[in-house]
Amino acid sequence: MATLVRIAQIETLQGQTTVLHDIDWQQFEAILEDLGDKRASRIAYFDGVLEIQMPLPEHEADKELIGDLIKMMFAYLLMDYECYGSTTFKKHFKGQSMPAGIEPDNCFYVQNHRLMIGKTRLDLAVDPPPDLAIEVDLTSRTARSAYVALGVPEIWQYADRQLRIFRLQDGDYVESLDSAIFPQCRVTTAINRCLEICRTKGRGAALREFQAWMGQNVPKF
Amino acid sequence: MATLVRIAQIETLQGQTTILHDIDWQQFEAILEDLGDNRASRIAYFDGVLEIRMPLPEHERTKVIISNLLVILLEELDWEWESLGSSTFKTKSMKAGIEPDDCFYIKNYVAMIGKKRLDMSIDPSPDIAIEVDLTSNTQISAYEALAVAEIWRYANGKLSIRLLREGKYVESLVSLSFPDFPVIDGISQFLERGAELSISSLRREFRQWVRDRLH
Repeated sequence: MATLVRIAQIETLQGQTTVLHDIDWQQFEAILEDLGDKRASRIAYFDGVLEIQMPLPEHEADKELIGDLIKMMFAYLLMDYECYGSTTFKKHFKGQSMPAGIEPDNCFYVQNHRLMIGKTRLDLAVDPPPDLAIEVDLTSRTARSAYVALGVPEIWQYADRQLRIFRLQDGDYVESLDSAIFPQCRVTTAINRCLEICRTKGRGAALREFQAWMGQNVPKF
Repeated sequence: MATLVRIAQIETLQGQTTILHDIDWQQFEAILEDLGDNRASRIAYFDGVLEIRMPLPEHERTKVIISNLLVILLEELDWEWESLGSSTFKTKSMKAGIEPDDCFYIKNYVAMIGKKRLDMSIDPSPDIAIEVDLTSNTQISAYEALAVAEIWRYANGKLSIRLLREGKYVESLVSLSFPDFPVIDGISQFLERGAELSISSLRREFRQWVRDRLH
């Protein structure tokens, strides 16, 4: 016997993850449609496993601050970029790598920013993956595998109040102190300090500290 | 459009709860069959909401300690009792179901000796249900529907007792089953010591503590 439930009947609590097994590509796409666009949840899909994660609201503020500091760096260094937020990135090429899908907490195009200007529909058959994805909270094996399959070169993972850099090397993510996007400085060290300042002295103090740090430590090209 | 998934496709992670909405009685019974008996999860069902909870190992240890201490108390008092562990208690008339972490029959123990099948339209409810991390309204409503007289609840490092009064649970400083014994104080003390002591030592020391109070 096998009881069936609709996706809409399943509720994922804040800070928790619903894991669905044996989901094929067609079902994955249908579930994405069922879930719709107006939702707080984030999905990860790889090897037939679909994870639906509901973020904790308390991490939203940290996520926003991380995004803002990254944008300050781009502005300071006069670098062009595009930001695609929590867009769904999915890829299924017949006969190639395992079908995969992911929704980062935030993401940036730097090298390929020009290709992404004004895009209304993403198609990873032609569009490149983002250069940088931000992931808040623990990243599951399914999420990591999806990032590998999509070829996202760099992930900044924020968990336990620490932002860490992971770079794609030979098909897996390896922790690194340096970012390929900001090779001239230890940017996550500065961001971690600003996150701490934000918790005790507020957002304004954190932004000012970052501005001052950039002025003293980040050489312009 | 509505994509359908089988219950067996849904995995509930340790320490987490899967919530299913709009589940009628028939589906609830079918899902119980799908889930089977050999599982670590616990369910709660009320008002069309089905919760499937996967306890953490530390949660299981706390439950074992509380149950063991309760059994020692019963033994030292020389009282008769029965337990149905985490059996599924369900009532069709109230459309409710629950699986406690553990449960005990004291007043009605005779009725439960050798029970093979539970039928809540004739069988009594347990006198005490033990719940580690009783948090959701669905769980509490299911207990109310099943009229379990007393819940021993452990949450945030503390044991508390809830008694059913006019269909609702109210917190109580004393146990209905052991009105003359400082249950909360005793068990809380030993739960705290459970961080350093083995369950076997806790059992020995608790037995002595109970004897000192009874004699």
